[in-house]
Amino acid sequence: MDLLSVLRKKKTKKLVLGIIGEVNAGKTTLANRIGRDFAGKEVGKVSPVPHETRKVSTLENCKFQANGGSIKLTLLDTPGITSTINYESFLEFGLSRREAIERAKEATKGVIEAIKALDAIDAAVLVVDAIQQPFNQVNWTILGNLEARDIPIIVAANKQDLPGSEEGLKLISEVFSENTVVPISALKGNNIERLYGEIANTAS
Amino acid sequence: MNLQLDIVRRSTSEKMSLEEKCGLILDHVSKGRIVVVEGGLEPIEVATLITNTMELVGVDVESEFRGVEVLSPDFPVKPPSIGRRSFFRRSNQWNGNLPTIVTPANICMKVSVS
Repeated sequence: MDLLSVLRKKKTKKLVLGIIGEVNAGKTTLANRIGRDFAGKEVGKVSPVPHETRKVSTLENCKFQANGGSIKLTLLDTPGITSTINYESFLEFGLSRREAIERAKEATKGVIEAIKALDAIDAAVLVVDAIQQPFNQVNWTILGNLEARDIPIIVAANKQDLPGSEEGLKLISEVFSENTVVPISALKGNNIERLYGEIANTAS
Repeated sequence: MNLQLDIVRRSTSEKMSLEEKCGLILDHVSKGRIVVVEGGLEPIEVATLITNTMELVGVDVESEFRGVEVLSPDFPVKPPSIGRRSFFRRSNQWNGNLPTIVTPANICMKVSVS
């Protein structure tokens, strides 16, 4: 093997990975787990109030390791994508009217950022809430846009720690029959190693 | 409640750019009308429509217009029969025969085909 080949072989692979999905699918919970595991820090705050993540959060230079290899990973945790934002829905979570209005304004910008982020990623983890109906307009739109850009997609059927997730997984596997579907619990860490393996595969 | 249905003919939309098409749809929907897009919308068009919708909603989040719902006759009311191909390719959105229906978010609507 000549020197050039050795250098090429030793060159660390790079990957910009987007964590994409609907509102409250568990994207930041997953991003935080990846951040903790490979960079020793979290990406963002998690909350039951929708649109907690209202800006794309970037974690650079993660030394991602899986399948016996190493990747220099840039992680983009994106705000949830939706076609509707109603500030009054935030009032139900105890926010003041002023806070709800501000959150709604920021959330509209977050959705736009999330859609723009599709142009900046090499691969995507589409996080799907396994206890919700997966066959919806948002997932259809995200999937179609990723495929139009030839971006590899891993579907993470999240919230496998919750009741009803097994049935949800069956439906997700049928709906996303052409994609790699990995059942996970981002919160508990269930099956996370398999997801990491699939992420590594997208960079090879 | 009075509902107005606006149809965007294929012959009209074919002559438009992506932005023009989404602008036309959003202009109607933001006035409380239901828009039927002949030939349907592709995912990239829906993403642009969502982007433009969020820009408009963000101008005044307290206004009556809170966003859009996008439907096609066999979506998302029920999943199509599942086969080898993924659902959105089978959902008839791209075969040019079925329309896409865009409504203001405060209108709940179901569409079926017989």
